[in-house]
Amino acid sequence: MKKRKIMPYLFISPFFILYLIFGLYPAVSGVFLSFQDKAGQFTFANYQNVFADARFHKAISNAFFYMLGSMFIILPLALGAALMLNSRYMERKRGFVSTVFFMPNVTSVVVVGIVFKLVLRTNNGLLNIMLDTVSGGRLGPIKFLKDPDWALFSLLIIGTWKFFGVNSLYFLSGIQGIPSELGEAARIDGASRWKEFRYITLPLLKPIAKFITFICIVGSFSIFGEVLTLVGNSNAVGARDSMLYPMVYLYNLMFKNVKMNQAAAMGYVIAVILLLITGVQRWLFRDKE
Amino acid sequence: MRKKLAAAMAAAMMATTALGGMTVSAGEQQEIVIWTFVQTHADYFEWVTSEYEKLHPEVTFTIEVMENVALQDRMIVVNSSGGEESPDLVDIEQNAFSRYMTEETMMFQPLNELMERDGILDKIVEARLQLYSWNDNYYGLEHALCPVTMAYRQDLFEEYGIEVPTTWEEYKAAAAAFAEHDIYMGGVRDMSIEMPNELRALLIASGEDYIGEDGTVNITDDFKSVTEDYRDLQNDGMFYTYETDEEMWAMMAENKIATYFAADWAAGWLRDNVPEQSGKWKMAPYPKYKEDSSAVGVSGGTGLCMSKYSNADQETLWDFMKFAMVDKDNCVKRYELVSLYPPVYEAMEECNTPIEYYGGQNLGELWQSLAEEIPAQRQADWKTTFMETFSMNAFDYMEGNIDTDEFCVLITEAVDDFNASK
Repeated sequence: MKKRKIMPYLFISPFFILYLIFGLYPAVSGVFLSFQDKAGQFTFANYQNVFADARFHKAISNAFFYMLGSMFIILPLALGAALMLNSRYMERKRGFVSTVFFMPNVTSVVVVGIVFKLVLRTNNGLLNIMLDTVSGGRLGPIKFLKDPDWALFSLLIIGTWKFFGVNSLYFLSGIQGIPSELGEAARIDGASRWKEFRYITLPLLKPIAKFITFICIVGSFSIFGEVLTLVGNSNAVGARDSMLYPMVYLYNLMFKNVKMNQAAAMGYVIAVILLLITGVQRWLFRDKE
Repeated sequence: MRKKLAAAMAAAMMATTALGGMTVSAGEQQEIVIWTFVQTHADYFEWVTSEYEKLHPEVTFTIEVMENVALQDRMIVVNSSGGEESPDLVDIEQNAFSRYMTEETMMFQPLNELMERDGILDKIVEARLQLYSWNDNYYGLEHALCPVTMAYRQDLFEEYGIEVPTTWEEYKAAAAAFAEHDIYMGGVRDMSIEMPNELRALLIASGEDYIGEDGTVNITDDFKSVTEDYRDLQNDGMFYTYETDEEMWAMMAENKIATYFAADWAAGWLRDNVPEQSGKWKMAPYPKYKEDSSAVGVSGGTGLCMSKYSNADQETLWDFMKFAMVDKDNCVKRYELVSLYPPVYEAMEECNTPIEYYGGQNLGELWQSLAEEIPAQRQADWKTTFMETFSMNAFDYMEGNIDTDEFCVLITEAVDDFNASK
């Protein structure tokens, strides 16, 4: 009898043991670290430094820009692609197209970074060659990765390529979960395609849209590998810090500037910002009576 | 029974912990762990450790190769965890050394006493030791001399009747002359992204390095002038500027680049990337910026450092360091194996052999003749901040949105802020 009670706990214990060691302990230890100076004395200075740091503000604003870009560029495109995939014309090709859509998501971030560096570079970059050909030489080479005004968009281009496909598959799964009777009933009642989409498909996609926007928000604040590969092993994170993102800055602060305590404080500030944003997101996606 | 088992396990754990923290004495069996970040160094370590093991059977080695950033990050983690999993010896790339220049992060053994005792300071080019110095202590032994000289396309200079420059003014004049023939004077990493290595090499050779002798930021009028020259050479299209290295090699293959500033470790890159140009390249001293400037620049470097967390016998570690980094025969062998020209005086002579790719020119002789002139590469804990601020504002500087004075003020202020936050 006693054995039977212990066994379930034993089965689930590996996860909790690993979580305690590699999840909870570092998190709690990080809190202590963030409130200590180099000598181990209690201080608020690390948080004060983070809040007063102009580069941190820049990193957060870059992440916000990317987040908005993800929501208003990548997600609408993904939704459009999902609707297209769901159409009866695509029925026989759906498997193949879905696989193609999913491939960027499983491509190593390092490979993505290296390839896009070749695509986006100023001299003989693939995109610049294409623009030059299309415009008949009228469009001069664009400094996609060097010009701060372009660097943000360049990262969005990479993000679109990498995440558009998988998000469209999420949307597709949501669309396929909507009972077909609802659409049929609406059409019998004379609803147009647009009205069917606006009043049936879109509201019923809310749960999946909530999940996808959450992923977008977290992803925007977690950009790391792409930037690190694009800038290489250098101190440069784009002109005017145009490619400085929260995780990149946190990493640089910890390992390049060796400001461990401040980096810990920054980690917690980022976590709180993310909590606030997701709180707003949950409120916007709340079920209305 | 259960109690006995628990006691035995506790005893075993205590013994393991105690043994793990014990320092090994000379003559005892010991395993030395070396971390390095580049395969060429690993290749040399493989050879030199096997030679050392023949002479000292009680010592065995483990060589771990990892990517440079990963190695430096792991070192920071090792230090933060009080030395857990620390290597005994580690290759520190000179750019990363500034990370360790604080009381909290300095995790290497000072080598001054050992160096003085064994007369090492007289054997190595002193400027190459300063790279790994902090608070009057030396922490590493350098792998290579790293002299930066000017490789040039002899055929192009002859074809267009342009003199090989010996001064910076002549260099700029030659650049203008080559531009008329649609040929770039040099290929450098785009300065709107970060400070090119070549610019720092020129600053160091000119005696205008941004790190002053006292370790403070040193922005002089000559610093500004050299930086402006680089900006103008790039903006006026006399330098081919690249974002990725392959771009430059492609341009070079098209015979569009006339000179190339290279340290000893990069001299072979020409042979590897444009082998068809064998015999067309020659090497010359660095164009002097001023009369009293050095005719050689300096770039790069890696020092072998001894971890202060090592449990191995310190004398054994030091003995191996001398064997691998200072011993004449081994330095010569290293040059043969991986083409790193030794910073050790007595080994230089034997490394001076004609190089076929450079038309039979004896590069070693050139480097040896310049060894005494090699300027010091200074280190400062604010170096990362300097480089970050330079990179952050370089685009605006290159585009003319800010002038040289404003650019330098931004950098100086950032360094001052860093120093104030210490």
